[in-house]
Amino acid sequence: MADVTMPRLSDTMEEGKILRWLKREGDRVEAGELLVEVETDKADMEVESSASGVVQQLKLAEGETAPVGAVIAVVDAGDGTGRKAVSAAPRQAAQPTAAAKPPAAPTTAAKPPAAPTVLPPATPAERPTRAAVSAPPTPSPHPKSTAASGTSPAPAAVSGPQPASSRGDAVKASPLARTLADELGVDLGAVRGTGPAGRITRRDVEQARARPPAGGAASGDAGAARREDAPSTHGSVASGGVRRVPLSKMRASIAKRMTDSKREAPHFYLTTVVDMDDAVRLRAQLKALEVEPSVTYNHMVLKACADALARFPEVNARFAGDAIELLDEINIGIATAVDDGLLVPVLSGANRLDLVAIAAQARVLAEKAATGRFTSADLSGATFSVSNLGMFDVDSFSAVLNPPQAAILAVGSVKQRPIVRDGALAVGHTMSLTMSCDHRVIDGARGGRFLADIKRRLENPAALLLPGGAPA
Amino acid sequence: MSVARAPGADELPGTPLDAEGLRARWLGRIGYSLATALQEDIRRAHARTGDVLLLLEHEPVYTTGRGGRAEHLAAPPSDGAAPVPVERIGRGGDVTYHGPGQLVGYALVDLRARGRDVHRFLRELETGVITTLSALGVRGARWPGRTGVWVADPDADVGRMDDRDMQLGRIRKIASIGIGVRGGITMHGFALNVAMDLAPFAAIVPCGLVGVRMTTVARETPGPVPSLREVAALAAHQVAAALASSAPPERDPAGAVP
Repeated sequence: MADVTMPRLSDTMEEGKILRWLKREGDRVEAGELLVEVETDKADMEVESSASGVVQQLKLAEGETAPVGAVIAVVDAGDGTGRKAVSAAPRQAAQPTAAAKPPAAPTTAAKPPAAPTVLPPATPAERPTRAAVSAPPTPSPHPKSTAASGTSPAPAAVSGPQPASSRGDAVKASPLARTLADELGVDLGAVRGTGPAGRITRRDVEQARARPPAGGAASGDAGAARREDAPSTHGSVASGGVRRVPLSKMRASIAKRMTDSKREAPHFYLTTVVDMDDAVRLRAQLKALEVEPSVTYNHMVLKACADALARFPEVNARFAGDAIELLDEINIGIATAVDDGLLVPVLSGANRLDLVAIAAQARVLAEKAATGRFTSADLSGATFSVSNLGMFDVDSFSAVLNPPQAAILAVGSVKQRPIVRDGALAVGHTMSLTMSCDHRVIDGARGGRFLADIKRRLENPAALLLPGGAPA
Repeated sequence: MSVARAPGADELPGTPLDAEGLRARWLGRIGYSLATALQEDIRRAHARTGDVLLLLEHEPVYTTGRGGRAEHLAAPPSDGAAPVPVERIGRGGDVTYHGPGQLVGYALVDLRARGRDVHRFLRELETGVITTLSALGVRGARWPGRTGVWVADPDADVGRMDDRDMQLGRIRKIASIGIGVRGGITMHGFALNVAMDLAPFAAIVPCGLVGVRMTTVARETPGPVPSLREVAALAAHQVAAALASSAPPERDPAGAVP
């Protein structure tokens, strides 16, 4: 048994992240063979095993971090010796000599060595789950390698080094020329090589490209499409009934930003219930007039907020350590759920837009959120945010401030509820608004006045149609 | 025609640029996957080519690590514009953008001959970019713990800046740096925003949540910005000089790293 430890890849390295295991539990590994890719800072490095044997245990999942010297894997040398620590070694030899290399390393020989840099690493077929490998180890990796090359779509960048591609060996071309040909959709068989011994060079391919390829897709699109076919390896790792899902960048930033927000900004919350009957009527009228694009309640809320912010500049502000900064621009962030988190596209200059313009822009932003196509202006500079969960039938909720903004408004569903009007119980459409405030910037009374102003505008929705907002 | 076979020095593509101690080539604008293949070719031929610095700009492309969510970026556009393609690269999570007006430098350098210290290599790349910026009249800086090159507001103490400063735009990122090491040879390198549209970066930054502000040389200087080709020539020089500090052969193979 030998422990493989986190290697020191730099004098200043304290810990490393397991980027990718190149061996699985149960695989055979030879000393000097690549075992793992380790990331430290913005560098990732191939690391060799310094022990030979069967990989008994991978101590860390991909994406996990360990300090230098910590055990990251256990290799069973099958020699009955006790356990000893062997540091994984950064790969040393570019051209391994026969003497330095242990006799046979079939797995590496079968794999295209360049694959790690371009391919999503392991296809599901190739990659057993950790649960699965606790079964008796099968030390023969051959079938796996062939299965992998059979199932994974080969992107352009790896087809070069593979000796026998579909193009066959008959055509002599440099790896670069092959890659380029793949990328440009050029048939190498139809290209005349001008290199040594008729070898096809990059230039030959480029010239051949001048003749449009038959039915060839644009290079960029083809590349993107290929990658989309590739199975996602954004994987979770199961172990002992716990599935660990490494944080996406978005999740990590949400975690950090929201924690910072709750720690640094003293939140308090104000809730009011808005009588929405007139707003419901207004919406029906706009619909009857076939106003395009159609206006939603959330658009009305955005408009009411924009006008209220113009009237209460102290809410359109942020805390800056030794000062409160009042912001000229009124830019409202619209919290928008996406697949794995949250985006907050920004309605810029919201107070200068009328209701229909807000509806139009909000729609564009929502589409962009769905497709991920933003410009920088779409995502930056919000001075206030609105989060609406009404579509999920949420009655009311409290939102976490999005720093450095001083306030965020949480909007609940519009639906018929019991309501008291003129001293009598009635049924009417209502909607709850909960405003989260940063107490360093906004006090209760001020926040209350601001929230009441929004409510007043929504309950008198003609105000939403006036140019430049309603009177104070 | 060279006597030696295969991608030796004279078979490197592109236009030679002056640089001490390594071979620098200007490739102009090329596609991402082509550049990746080229890096791979040169990495394998490193014994013949020696250390190489490729300078180029990419066609617009997003690159994403295995954890990246390419599907968000690659979705078909609603407005008929061509989508920016997405390349998955075999690296950690970060998603980034490359495009015209950004000087990309790929360093294919034998790390084993340089003490095998990956962090030190990153710092040297930063130095090369910072001195390049300095020649362009931009004061670039390291931000400890955040690899890359940053530009802070004048008189700011970068060492004391935090996320909030970043979010408020008091410190902005002008160059991204990241490497991979395969077979002892480095790949990838730096991407310096010279004069480019920053909008595509926004699609990969989760809203106000992350708050990294990108900037460009053009934004940070009042005067005209030299062409990318000229900046490449400058960078070839400066990066080579920065890497020379750890270049072979003076190193003691036994290791006592300073």
